[in-house]
Amino acid sequence: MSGLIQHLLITLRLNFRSKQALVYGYIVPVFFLLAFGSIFRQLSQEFGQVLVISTLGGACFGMPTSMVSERERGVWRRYRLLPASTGTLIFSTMVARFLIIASAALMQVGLAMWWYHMKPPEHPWQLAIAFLFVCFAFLGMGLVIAMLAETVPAVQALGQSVFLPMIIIGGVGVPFYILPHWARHVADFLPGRYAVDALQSCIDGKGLRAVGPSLLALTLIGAAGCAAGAKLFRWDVGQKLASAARGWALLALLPWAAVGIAATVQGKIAAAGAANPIIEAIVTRSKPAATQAAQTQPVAATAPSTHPAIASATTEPSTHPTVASSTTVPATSPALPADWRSVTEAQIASISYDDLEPDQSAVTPVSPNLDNLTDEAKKRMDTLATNLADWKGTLEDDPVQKVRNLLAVAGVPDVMQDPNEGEIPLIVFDRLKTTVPRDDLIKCLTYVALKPDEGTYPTGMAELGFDVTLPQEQVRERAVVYGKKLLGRLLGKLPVKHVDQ
Amino acid sequence: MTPPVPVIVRDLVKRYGDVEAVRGVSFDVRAGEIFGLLGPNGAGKTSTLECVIGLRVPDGGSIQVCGLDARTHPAKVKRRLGAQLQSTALQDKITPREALRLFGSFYSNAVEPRTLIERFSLQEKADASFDSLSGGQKQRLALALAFVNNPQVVFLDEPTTGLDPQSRRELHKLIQQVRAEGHTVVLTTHYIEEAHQLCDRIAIIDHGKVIASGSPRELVASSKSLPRVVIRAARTLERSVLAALPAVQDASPTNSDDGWELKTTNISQTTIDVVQLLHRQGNELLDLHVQRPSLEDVFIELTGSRLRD
Repeated sequence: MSGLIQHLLITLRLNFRSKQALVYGYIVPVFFLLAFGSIFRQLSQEFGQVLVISTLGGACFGMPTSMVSERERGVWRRYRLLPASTGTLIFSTMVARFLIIASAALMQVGLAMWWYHMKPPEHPWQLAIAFLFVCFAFLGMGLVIAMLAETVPAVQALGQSVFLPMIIIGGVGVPFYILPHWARHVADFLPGRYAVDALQSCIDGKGLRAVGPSLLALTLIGAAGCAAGAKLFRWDVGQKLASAARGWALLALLPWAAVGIAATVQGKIAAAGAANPIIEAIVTRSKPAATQAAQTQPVAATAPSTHPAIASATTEPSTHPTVASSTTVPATSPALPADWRSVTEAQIASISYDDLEPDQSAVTPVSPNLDNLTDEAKKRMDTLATNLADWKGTLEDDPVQKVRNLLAVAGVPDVMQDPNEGEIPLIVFDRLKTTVPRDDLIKCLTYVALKPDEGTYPTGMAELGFDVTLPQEQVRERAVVYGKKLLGRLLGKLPVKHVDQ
Repeated sequence: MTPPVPVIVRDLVKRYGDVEAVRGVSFDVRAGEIFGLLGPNGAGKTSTLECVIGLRVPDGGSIQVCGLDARTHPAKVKRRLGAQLQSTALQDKITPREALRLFGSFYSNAVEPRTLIERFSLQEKADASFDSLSGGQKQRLALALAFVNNPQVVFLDEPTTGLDPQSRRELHKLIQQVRAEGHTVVLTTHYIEEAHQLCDRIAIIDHGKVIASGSPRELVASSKSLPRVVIRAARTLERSVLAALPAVQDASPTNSDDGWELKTTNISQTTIDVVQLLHRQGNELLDLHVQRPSLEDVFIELTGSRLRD
């Protein structure tokens, strides 16, 4: 026991003495945090991905690099003379790496809360447990990489072959719900998708109880990795892997295939019934805080704030300008309207626009005009305008649902980060203005802003050229903001930061 | 009462694929002695030692260390032995004190790092990183690590290879010191002088076999080579004249200068004859010394070739 602790402590100490380890262990995770923060803004909805990327880096590059480097130097050969089992030394190595990764993750959480005003995780202790599962799975994979790689450069090659697919099509770098369908099926076979699922559920979802299958998948992947890594363990650089031993590497991949097949089968069954369970889970987790508050907090019960800023900006404005905050129900408004026709002037006047993201920002952008488009983009916008006229969502009889449908056409490209995400809202605004009488449109938009959770928003619109299926809440959130932006334009109330009136 | 024999190796065999690196090696190591495995590179010394300390699994034979069967009780044996490997390096940023604490933590009878630091003269570098140590300091640390568990028997694989002469002498002193403290030392070397100076007994290994064993004195005494009187004179000497001296069996020029090497059956007689010869010729004697048969000679006799560095 004393040996295990000493080995763990010295591994930690040596890590903190290595400049390279510090850069990879702490600077690179900060870089990923900044990258995600600047791209997504709503960091809490993507923070699971940030944590998974850092964990992957530490487990699949950091640990194997350190182990292979020590093996090349003969350190492990010397360890072999100690009266200690292989398992003891592997265990202390993995625990040390876990602590290093965990410290980097804590740093990321702290920085995200401080710099990006990210909400604290909904279930912090459950997040810690989920993080343990994720580390176990990835460290098992890292152990196999360490045993398969002959040299440190080989670690990089093997690590990248695991890392890159997960980042690009595994739901780790690019959010799962944005991935095309074929990539989602691939992601089902990669551990990263389950790691993001488990962590994200504890950050802004239902916690561990919603992610049992993902935890099971991570456990199986980690256990197989550890077993294979222990079997393949090499003390000495001169020890070559027997061809029979390489079979253990395949064993480590078996759970990947098993959980992938299980997820595929489960997805097909669910698709035959109702909603996709994966999307459902993400929707549940990613529901904006303000929307949740609106559901649980009757407006009439909200006391008017004595703070002038709060009073003018409606209830509990976020200290950070987020999309969610702009959908907040006004605290000082009269009772919510029963339907869009009963929207009053007072309710229309109660909508605040101060907390809207500027039109030039990455979230809910609106271009000043369509003048600077390429010929190809202009053609695309023309086609969209034409198709929009006959689109089933435009032909909806209920005016407020028609407004929701069309606003979703602006929201979907924004979530997708479409190259014309700024121009498409202009097409949508035009269509709304030409198909809904102005007064009705103002009432409908006010109603949508006051009751953001009502109704449905189309999440897939292949006929308009957006061949994706996005989470309902993501689209709803963006659509409601675009509704407010149009309402502000119609009433001439948008602040000066918005370019186009 | 006879002290127990710490190491008994019988008919040890180790193969690497088709290559038989160790071919039936047997030897005993007595308590409190320095025992050397001497042989050229590739002779099978390191393979033999690594089998004995449990780093490699032998293909045949038996090994007993401290009364335990090393093949069936490797973990117990590891607790009783210490070892310094030929190519061990530690992490760049670990300090000698940390390394000694780490390795000692795996033993119940660990020696205090401070004690080992003093004993192996590492005080100045006790808290310096490993990559800042000199070659000799690294070897002293490796030796100190072999003593973290105060072992009965310690194995050293080529302990002085790559060291400068001063570091080598310092390490020799340390090894003799640990022998004086009652430890048994088994070392491998390809340096004949080292084996001669350090070892109480030697096993000469070549091509995976022990071809001779005994104390350096016994091995030299067993040599069939004749002692040599080596002379150098001011003026040139004739080979035929030197070869005609009564006890001289052979006269040959030395490689390095204008001297002669006279193999003789009687050192005293030849020395007197050479002095008288030069006196008669009016020649001046510049140098005269006697060379007795060495381990090198023994090795050449046994293998037909010189011990290569």
